[in-house]
Amino acid sequence: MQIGYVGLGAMGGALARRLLAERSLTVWDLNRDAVVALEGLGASAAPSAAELARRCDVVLLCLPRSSDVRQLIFGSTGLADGLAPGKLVIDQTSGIPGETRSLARQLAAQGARMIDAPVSGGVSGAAAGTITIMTSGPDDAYEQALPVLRSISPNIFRCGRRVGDAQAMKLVNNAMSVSCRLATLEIVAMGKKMGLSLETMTDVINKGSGRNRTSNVMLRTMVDGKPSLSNFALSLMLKDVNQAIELGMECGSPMAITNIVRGLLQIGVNTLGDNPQLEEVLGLIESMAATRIVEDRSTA
Amino acid sequence: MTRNNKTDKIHVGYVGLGATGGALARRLMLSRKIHVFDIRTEVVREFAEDGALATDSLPSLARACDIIFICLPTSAAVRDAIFGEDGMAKGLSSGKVIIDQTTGDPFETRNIARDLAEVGVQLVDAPVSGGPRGAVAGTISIMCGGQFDVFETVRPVIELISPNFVYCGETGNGHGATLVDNAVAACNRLITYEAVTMGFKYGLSIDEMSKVINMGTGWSAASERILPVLGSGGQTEPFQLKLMVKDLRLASQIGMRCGAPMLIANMVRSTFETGSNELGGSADLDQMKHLFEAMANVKFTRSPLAK
Repeated sequence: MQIGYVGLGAMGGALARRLLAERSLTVWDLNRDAVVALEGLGASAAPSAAELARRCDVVLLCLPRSSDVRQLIFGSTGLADGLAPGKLVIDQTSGIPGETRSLARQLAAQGARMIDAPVSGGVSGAAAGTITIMTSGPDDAYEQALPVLRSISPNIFRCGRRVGDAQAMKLVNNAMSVSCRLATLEIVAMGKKMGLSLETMTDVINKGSGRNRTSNVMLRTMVDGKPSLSNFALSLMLKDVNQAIELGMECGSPMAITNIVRGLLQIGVNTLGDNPQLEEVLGLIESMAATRIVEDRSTA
Repeated sequence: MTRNNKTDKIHVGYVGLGATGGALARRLMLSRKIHVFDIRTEVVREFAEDGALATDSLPSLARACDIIFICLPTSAAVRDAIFGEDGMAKGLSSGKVIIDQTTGDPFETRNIARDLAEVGVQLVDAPVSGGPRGAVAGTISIMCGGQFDVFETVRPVIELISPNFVYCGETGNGHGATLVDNAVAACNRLITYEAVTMGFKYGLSIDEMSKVINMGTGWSAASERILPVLGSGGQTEPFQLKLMVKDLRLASQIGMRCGAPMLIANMVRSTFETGSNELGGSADLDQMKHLFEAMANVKFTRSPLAK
């Protein structure tokens, strides 16, 4: 079975490297440097997306947006040109469920399959082979994808038989994760301003009912004065939250809290300079409260 | 009306005779014969009895008219009425103008205009603000978008509906401006309920608050209509919650597309979504007061709560 990977950015690149540790891999990306880096690790490069699809039985992809996925598949010299009947596309993009379903339907017309398999756990989780993979799609496509996904990580959750449900699950998770992050930072800013130390709050929250991933990882890292290992663009998180809110609008869920989080993330994207990272929302929260959670930014 | 003379030879049609579209069509009927179409044949029959020219299909209306007004629930419905099966497209030809009065999606409106331009048909968006009553009174506000020279050619007909129109620029801008206006009005309505709920629970009378707010800096077009009738359970403008939710979703989507935070409008939209879920989508705007009563555990009455 020949496997291909398209989209070698921060996340896709890490997932491709993980696959390459166990299997031979053909890769393609618009960014030539990213291709060369994977070639250096033993991958072979395809001259186009169409040619990659011709050479491979299973094609994984991870792009910024579903609109990029559509362009990659159905654009000129796109994947569709090389997707013979029986071939499988695994979309690891944090995409729009309805849009992925529509792409899968279009591919089915030429006999090719498509399922979604987004991930949660970051670049470090991908490298360690422990990343969480959510996947959804019909049985035959799922069975075909399973051995490939297992080469990335054994932590696979099947979220449904309907294509797109795994991407919906990812949006649910990300909206929850970032909402907890902003709530945690906002409340810690208040605590700090009224005189509690960050160390005390971090110790107590992580032993109490307020604990969450942000208190456990981000606050702890700040207390220890270690550099953050997180690497995720704020604009991509905003995109995920926007997509979650669109899902809410489609099904008539109010999303009152997530909408506020969305507004704050948008303000962050608009005010925090060129391509801010997710963790830089700290600066926005501090500025809104006119306080500092971390006194010496060089250690944060 | 001298302007009428200029438009006498132009054949005008109206598609979509719902609460707003119907009122706007009737306004046109005061000064001229118009062709009308609606999927509900009984509504078309009523209009025919009042002097309109009934048509039995969208293509035949499009063939008969030079200017075609359209007012439907969504831009998707507009696309369908034009390009869908049995849509207007078969009867459209170069030089005709469609005036879209739907509270629509500016981005989709631009797409529709682009597709129409390929067959030489121009689109002007001209949604309204002011409700059916404003339409009947001829005082409704019309926000117009489209190529300026095209707008100028249809302007005499738009003026027949109301003299209160604003040209907002390129195609879709009328829809954009309406969504902005709507978002402000929706926020005004809910903050009026919320603040007055607090005052009422604290012990102020609604009638007193109404006088103070409507003479003071808290005044808005919403407070002016809502507060005088809030205590007695009177109605303002009938408008279904599901339509308000639709309009606010469009405003939120514009915010997301252009990167505006929309903190307050999204809170208001979520609250309308909640209202629509709890009170039903066909409940009207005035019913939203029940949500605020329930959330604060009070019941509005004319007399203040006993302390």
